[in-house]
Amino acid sequence: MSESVTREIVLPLEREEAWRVVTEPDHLREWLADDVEIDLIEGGLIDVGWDGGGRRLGTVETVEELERLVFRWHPEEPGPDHIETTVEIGLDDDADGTRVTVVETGFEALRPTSLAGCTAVSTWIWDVRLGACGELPLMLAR
Amino acid sequence: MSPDPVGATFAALSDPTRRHVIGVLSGGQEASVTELARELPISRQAVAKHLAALAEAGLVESTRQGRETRYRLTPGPLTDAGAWLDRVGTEWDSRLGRLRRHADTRPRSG
Repeated sequence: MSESVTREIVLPLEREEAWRVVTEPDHLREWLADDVEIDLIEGGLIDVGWDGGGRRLGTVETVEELERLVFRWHPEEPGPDHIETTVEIGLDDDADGTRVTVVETGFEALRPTSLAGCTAVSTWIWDVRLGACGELPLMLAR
Repeated sequence: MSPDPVGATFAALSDPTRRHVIGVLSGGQEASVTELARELPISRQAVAKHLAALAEAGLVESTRQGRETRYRLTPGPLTDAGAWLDRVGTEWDSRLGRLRRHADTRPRSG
């Protein structure tokens, strides 16, 4: 099983327009989340919020103008129960405009064979005691 | 079949007794209804009912051994990160759907 999520879409936009749509807060608010602030430099903050509540912070890792934007979501809460994932938004030329490819990675931590992953999954799913978690790799091996 | 496997898992696990059944089975052993009833403060009938609910959600599976039906945990829905990945993928699908619609209206800034 691949531990990443990949999605792509072709937009009827020139590359420069597409870049603005995936990097400028005014555009990001139309599709990524209800409120988006982004400091478009390496190490810059991305701050995303939803009207219904909920907020996520991240750090911009790579900005290659017209090519690629990479940011890393911070854990939703501190502690080993929450994982960090990285989102890469890449642009490529396409006959119909510009192809936008989104790849979110970092889900390896969800592998039950790692203690952190086990904790993350079980906390998310149900309040199992950590003790039972040690059995999960055995169960998977069967 | 529920279109939301994560939701079905949550629903099945919302009951503390069912979580308890899972806890017993998470030892890695198969168990019969009788054996589970010995471990739990509930009747055999109640155990059977909870096992049926867990099986419905795909969390346990049964095998027949002679006269006895034995139950074991299906680790997939609980431990497979796939359900999580599916959810993340669905979120991106809806974001990119909004992106597509936004692009179709042409960006305001030029």
